[in-house]
Amino acid sequence: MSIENARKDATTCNRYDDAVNILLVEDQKSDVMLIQRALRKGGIVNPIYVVRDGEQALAYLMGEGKYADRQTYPLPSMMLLDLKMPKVGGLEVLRQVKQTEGLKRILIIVLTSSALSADVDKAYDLGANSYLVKPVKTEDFIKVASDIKCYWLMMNQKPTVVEV
Amino acid sequence: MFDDRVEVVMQWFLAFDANNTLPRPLLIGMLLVCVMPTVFNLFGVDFGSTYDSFDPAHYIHSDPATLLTAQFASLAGAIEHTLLEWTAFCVAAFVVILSLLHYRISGDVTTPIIGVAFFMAGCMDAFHTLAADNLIVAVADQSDLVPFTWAICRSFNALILISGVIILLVREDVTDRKPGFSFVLAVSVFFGVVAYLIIYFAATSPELPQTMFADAWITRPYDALPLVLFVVAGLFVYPLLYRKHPSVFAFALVISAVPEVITQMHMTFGSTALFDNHFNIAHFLKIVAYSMPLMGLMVDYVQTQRQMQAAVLEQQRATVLLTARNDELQAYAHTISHDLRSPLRAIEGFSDALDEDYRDRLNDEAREFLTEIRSGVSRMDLLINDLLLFARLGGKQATLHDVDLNEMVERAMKELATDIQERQAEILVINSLPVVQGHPATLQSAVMNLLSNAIKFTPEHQRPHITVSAVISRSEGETLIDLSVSDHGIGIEKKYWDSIFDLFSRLHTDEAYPGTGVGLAIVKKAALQHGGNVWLQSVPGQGSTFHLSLATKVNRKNRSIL
Repeated sequence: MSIENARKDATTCNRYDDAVNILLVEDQKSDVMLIQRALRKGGIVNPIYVVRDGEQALAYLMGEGKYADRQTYPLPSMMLLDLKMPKVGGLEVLRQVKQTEGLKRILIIVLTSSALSADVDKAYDLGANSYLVKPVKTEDFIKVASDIKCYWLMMNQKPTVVEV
Repeated sequence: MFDDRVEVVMQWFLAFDANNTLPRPLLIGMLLVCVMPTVFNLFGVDFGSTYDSFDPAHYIHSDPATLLTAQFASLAGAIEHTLLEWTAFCVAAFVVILSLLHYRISGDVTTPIIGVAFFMAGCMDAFHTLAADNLIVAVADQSDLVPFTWAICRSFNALILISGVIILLVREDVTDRKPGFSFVLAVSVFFGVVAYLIIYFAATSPELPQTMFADAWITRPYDALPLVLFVVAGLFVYPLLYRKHPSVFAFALVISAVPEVITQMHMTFGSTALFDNHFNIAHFLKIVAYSMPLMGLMVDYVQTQRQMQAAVLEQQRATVLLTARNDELQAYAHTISHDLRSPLRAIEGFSDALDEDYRDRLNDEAREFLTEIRSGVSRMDLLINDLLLFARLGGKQATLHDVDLNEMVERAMKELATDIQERQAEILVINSLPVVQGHPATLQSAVMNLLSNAIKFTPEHQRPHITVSAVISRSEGETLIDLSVSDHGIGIEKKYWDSIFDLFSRLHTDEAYPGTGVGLAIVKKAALQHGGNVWLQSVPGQGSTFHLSLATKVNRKNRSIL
């Protein structure tokens, strides 16, 4: 599929919810840039907030420190979560979030390079809502983004996330 | 001359390897038992049977109990003789039974041939005993019959074993293969009949030659022949067998010559009357001689058992190690592959971004460079994918599934739909393919690769014609399925027929035929995983046929095809 086609695809789900706040948890700078770019090209114009490791992610969600300011850092109802990160890994973030009342409804989409079945199963055991592998090719990445838009942001009903 | 002999004998004995000998204590014990009676003799102990002659006239007025006691007392020598002989016979019987068991386990025909020959000699001993006890009606005088048939038995014993060994070795030289068991039986039956006829003749002859000469230096000349025979057997014939077929049993046979020779010496130079000291010692030592092959078989059995246990343990250890290594390797491959992907994604993503966002500011050459970068990324991505697949296949897949090869082909065709359509490829499945027991993922991937190669390596201007077929054959309780995929493509030179199945092995540049060199390695892996093999026939310029053989249980549903 060409980039043009993928982009065309993305325009089809235009009745999607563009108000959903998305938290992107990703340690690799290049991946942050590529994911943001892919999401935009996939037609997702939603606000995307970025944190660079698991510790920051938990602080953000719990509203600790500067993240207490929910005007600047609003509570997300969807999260794109990498697994391999320094300090606190993605699986640990997943475990804690899914154990916390209010936060556990956040839609968590694991977005990682690992397709190891051990990782996949562990993520689902901990309550991940979806598990996606980062594609290498740009057009594939855009396709993933547009599918997220069509399914998770349009068809899927959004939960109510409550502040801790 | 004598020194030469000694040296020859020494060489024979030096040829014994430690694995095929009896345990040292057993050997020492046997030697002690052999010399013990003589030592006791020196101290004045007499092993002769004491028995009274029985005069019926003397007991006319005695009560029945006294009569019976007197009768038994007169038969003491005969009874002791019978017990000794029968013990020897039983040992011979055990030898043949164990030798047959040994044959069942090892398939080595040497042991039963000697075992059966041994048993026949034992049977002859039994006839001798029965005749001596008048259970086979004998007309000759007991004092002639017993020593005469004994000497016959001993000669027969030595001869049958010597012939057994010689027949075995000669026949092997002539036919160049081991003689069958029916051969053993035929020879044995022949010897058995001869044995019986000799005893029968001896028992029914009223006149037998005198065998004992109490005053002569050689008291029993008839026993001199077996004495010589056993010396020859022990020094030359049995060692010959051992050299050809080294085993504990053959060693025991060699060793058994020692008590045999001592037995014969007691008879030839010592015994002057029935049931006397040397007579009984000889009969006792014969049991010792018979026990040696029995010991040999038992030691052999224990050794075999131990070796098997050790082998099983070793195998278990190796399997555990191999499994651990394999797991490690797979985890390694996974990690490497995924970590390699991350920078690859960056290269791809940013060259794409560059191309898109800065297209106006790049000249044609720069854009071409970007295209090259991206095609390099694609190749590496493909390579990582294939490598991951290769690592994953053949991992822990304990359970076998029913795999319908037709379905495998259909699925592969679905996956290759774009290529098939583009090249207008025609894939023909001859008859129906079987359902096999196997690993679906590996087989799927193997079939996929074979088909995609067949399409890929057909020249651009040609429509790919591909034939898929399977031949089922059965050999030694195993069902072998030969799945073949034929094309009319570019073919492969013979010198590459083996190496193309190696991982990363390629014959063309990426521009000519893109690929990673993993596909056929996966096919080979599938074959090995299913106990089969891969090979190909090809004529360059005309096409190739790839064969993937699978040793597997064919599902019942296919019985009609067989």
